[in-house]
Amino acid sequence: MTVQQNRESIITASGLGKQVETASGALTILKGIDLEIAGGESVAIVGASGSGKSTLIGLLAGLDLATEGDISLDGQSLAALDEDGRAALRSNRVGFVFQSFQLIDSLTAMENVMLPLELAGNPDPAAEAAQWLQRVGLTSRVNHYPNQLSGGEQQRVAIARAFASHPQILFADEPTGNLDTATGHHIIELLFELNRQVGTTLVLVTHDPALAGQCDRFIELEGGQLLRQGTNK
Amino acid sequence: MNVPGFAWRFFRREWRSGEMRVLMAALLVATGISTSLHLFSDRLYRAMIMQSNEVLGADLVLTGAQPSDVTAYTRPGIRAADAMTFPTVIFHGNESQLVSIKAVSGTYPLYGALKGSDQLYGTETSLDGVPSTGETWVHPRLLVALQLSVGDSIDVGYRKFRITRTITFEPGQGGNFFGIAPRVLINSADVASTGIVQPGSRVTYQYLFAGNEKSVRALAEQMRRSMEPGQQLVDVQEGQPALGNALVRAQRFLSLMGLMAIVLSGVAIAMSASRYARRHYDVAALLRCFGARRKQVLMVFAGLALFAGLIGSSAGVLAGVFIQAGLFAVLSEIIPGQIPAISAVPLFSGMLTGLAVLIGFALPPFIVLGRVTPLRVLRRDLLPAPVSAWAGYGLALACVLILMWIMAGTLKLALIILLGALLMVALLGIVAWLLLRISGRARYLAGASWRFGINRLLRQMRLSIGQVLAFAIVFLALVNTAMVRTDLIDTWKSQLPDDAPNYFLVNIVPDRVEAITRFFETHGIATTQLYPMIRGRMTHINNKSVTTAVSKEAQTDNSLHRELNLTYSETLREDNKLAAGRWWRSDETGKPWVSVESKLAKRLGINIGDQLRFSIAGQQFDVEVLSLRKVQWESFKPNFYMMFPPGIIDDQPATWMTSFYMPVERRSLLRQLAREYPAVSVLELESIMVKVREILVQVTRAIEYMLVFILVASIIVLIASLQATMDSRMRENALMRVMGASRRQLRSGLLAELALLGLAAGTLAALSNEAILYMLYSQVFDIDHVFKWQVWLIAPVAGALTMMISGYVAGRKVLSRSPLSILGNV
Repeated sequence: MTVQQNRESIITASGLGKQVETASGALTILKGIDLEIAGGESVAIVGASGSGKSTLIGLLAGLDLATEGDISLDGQSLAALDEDGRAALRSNRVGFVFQSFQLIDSLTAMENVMLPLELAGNPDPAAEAAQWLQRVGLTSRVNHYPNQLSGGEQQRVAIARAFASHPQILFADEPTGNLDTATGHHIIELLFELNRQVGTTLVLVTHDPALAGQCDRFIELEGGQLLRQGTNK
Repeated sequence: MNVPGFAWRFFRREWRSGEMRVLMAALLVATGISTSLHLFSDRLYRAMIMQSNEVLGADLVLTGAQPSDVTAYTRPGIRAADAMTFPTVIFHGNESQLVSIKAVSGTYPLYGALKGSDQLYGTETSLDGVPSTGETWVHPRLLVALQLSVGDSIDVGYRKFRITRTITFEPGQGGNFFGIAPRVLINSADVASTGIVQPGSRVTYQYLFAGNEKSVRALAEQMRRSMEPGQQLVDVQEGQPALGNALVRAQRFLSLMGLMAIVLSGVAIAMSASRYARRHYDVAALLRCFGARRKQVLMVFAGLALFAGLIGSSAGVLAGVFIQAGLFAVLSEIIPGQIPAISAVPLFSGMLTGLAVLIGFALPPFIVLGRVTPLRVLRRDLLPAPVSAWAGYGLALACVLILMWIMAGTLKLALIILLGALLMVALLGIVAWLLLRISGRARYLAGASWRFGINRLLRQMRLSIGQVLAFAIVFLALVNTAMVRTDLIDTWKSQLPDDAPNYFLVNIVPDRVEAITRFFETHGIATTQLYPMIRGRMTHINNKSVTTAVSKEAQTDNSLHRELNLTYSETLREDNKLAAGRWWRSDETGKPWVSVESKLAKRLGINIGDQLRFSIAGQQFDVEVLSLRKVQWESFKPNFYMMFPPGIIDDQPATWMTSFYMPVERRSLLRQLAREYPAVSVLELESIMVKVREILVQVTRAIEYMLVFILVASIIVLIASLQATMDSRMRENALMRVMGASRRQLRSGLLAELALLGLAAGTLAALSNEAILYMLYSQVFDIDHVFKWQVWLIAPVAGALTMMISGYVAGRKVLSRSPLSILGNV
């Protein structure tokens, strides 16, 4: 199943900057970032450690507020929203996959996937979750707890959880960072396959050139500034 | 988002995974202990009141020299009986004897029963009802004095009565038995026919009332308002000093233990809630990340806490019911009679206590969960802003204050206790800081593992002080309750030793004193000192008539309206303690001085140096108050409100009295004594003492059982606090393992750290224990505080050992798990 991609801009950042106060004065983490990401596009944010990748993805997802500039997410200015407003925006349109999986240890695979569905008031979260766990190939593991699953299985649960709420945008922070090469490879295949099927906009942060190479586009950061951006295809 | 539904599903999942176990266990213990203590003490107290009422024969007794119209006091739910007592001389043939007649209505006594036998010195049994008209039940002494048997008749005034029983116990007898002649009990319907009671006769009228607690309380209030001068109202706590004091002390101690257990559980709840919250920062961040609003996250966790609270408290209440039922089952042999049914109040209050403790102690950490930033999903180092210390501690303190208020009865007292406790915690915090600093200075003298342990404590000074304080509270609870229990029981035992006097000997005329002393010496029976007893009235205080010299409340004091038993003595008996002033020296006989019982002095506002005037047989004596004495009324020895030095009132008409212990097997001596000295009256205290001892045994056992609960609560706190700090220990130790530390090194370090914590906590416990004991003994229990140096040695050593053992057991996991698995999970 492949969904028609929407090439209109879904994320726009202009003059984006982030400064934090430290004991030794203000520290600039991001400065002057301008970017645009189109609906259905897959974009890799790359750069060395400390270049500001995670900060940028945090700002784009509305988890944090920029100190300069603004971000428009699906036409909605994030600076104009308070924290609860941004939460409401995330609830409808945004999904996440994390490096450390971020599964809740006390919940089974099934319950972890159900969590955002329940939060969004889905009428039948169990059926939806079961369907997504099936799509990531974990039908036999639905009642297992995270500590009973391998790293790759845990990340598959996290992917099922991210897609289950039908987000328009999926943010992935180093999704293969905690996995061995072979497992990481499988996870990437799964992520891109589902992304193709659903037509989600994928924004991922990675160190891995191979992974970055699979995205439509890449954005490279250095010292908190946009070094270059380009297309892979 | 359906927050309650989501919270409920989340709670069920969390429950299943065991995340909330310690929190709920602590809650279950808090509620279980408070419910069971409340239920147990409520039912035991009501049972004890019931038994004490049996000794008194009623809930309330109104006494006066004039007949009263008590129809105003009759109401539904109140049973009544009346009795009149008067002295008279009865005859049998040519023999006569001064006796004390008690004429009782058919409903007498309202509780308990008269005891006696159908023959002289026969087996004592409970007697049903009261004598029928024309019949009398008499004390064995009368039979001995007049050489009568059951079945003989005596003349009382114009009426002849047939003796059908002897009586050896009479409810209400414990109050006043000095100077009374042998008891002759008749039916009140026969009084008029004797023709003895005429206007102006010296009669004491007693009106007895009994009913449910609420009606009795209301009735007592009504009576106190409308009582006339000279009338006296006695309830169980006033009627029987030995019983009343034991009950009051027991009730206070049980409340204290309950509070202690609740505060302990509160500490456990606070610790496990903090741990739970810390472990759920990521979950809260994730929920925010998935779009939950701040308020929704807060509501989810508040809902979770509420479900935990409701379920934990309900289980606790149920457990409380079982625990107290078990206690009554264990104590069934020593709690004879009927135990009142469970009342609903303790169940509700147990439930409310559980929820209050949960809110007070667990809410602040849960509030913090609502403050977790969603960005934490990317940056785990981002911690939520803590709840302000004022709000956090304020809530817990408010919760404790409310519970104290309920238990202590007055807000003022609760505030005093709470402020005192806060001051103590602050001081202890400073002492803990000092102890840690000192050990920090001394760490270079210790081995490497000790240094490691000490360094770890010093690095996190605030956390370490918190831990020392938490453990100190646990040890304090144990040391303090154990010591108070021992001291209370010792006090009771010393007041009522096995050889406490069980007989009083009164009406000894002066020329028989020497012969009677010899009689006891010959038969090897020890007596307390013989005291002369002189009847006299206190008429003036500082030259003002007593009725105007004292405060309005004191004007109805019984001591002002009757003759007092006065005595003189050169020496002060050991169990009388000077509260103020000094005792006279042997060369100061004849000085116009008096020593006054301290509680009476307080009631009447009498101070050292005040001038008192006494009227004895028409003669006036002016004396100055030289001392105030504390008297143990429950000692069953002769005690007096007023004592004079020899040489003042010696010439006044007196009879002498003493008390002695007579073992059962030598009771035949009593008959010999009665034959040789027929004018002397022997008063038996045995049955009252048996009753008192029985109640003290119950109270003691109850306290010991409740100590077990304190122990359980303490262990839970210990587990909760060790668990709460174990996560960071695990992580640090895993890092140390990665860096090459051996298991032995880590184990030694852990043990050193725990030993130091235990040592500091034990020292603090000993220190605070001294302060609390001093306060409790002087302000609450009215007993002497004796410094025990052993506690200062045992508490720190036992503290260190307890911490090392329990910490080692809990920490085995830390040492045995692979560093990778710990670092991956923590």
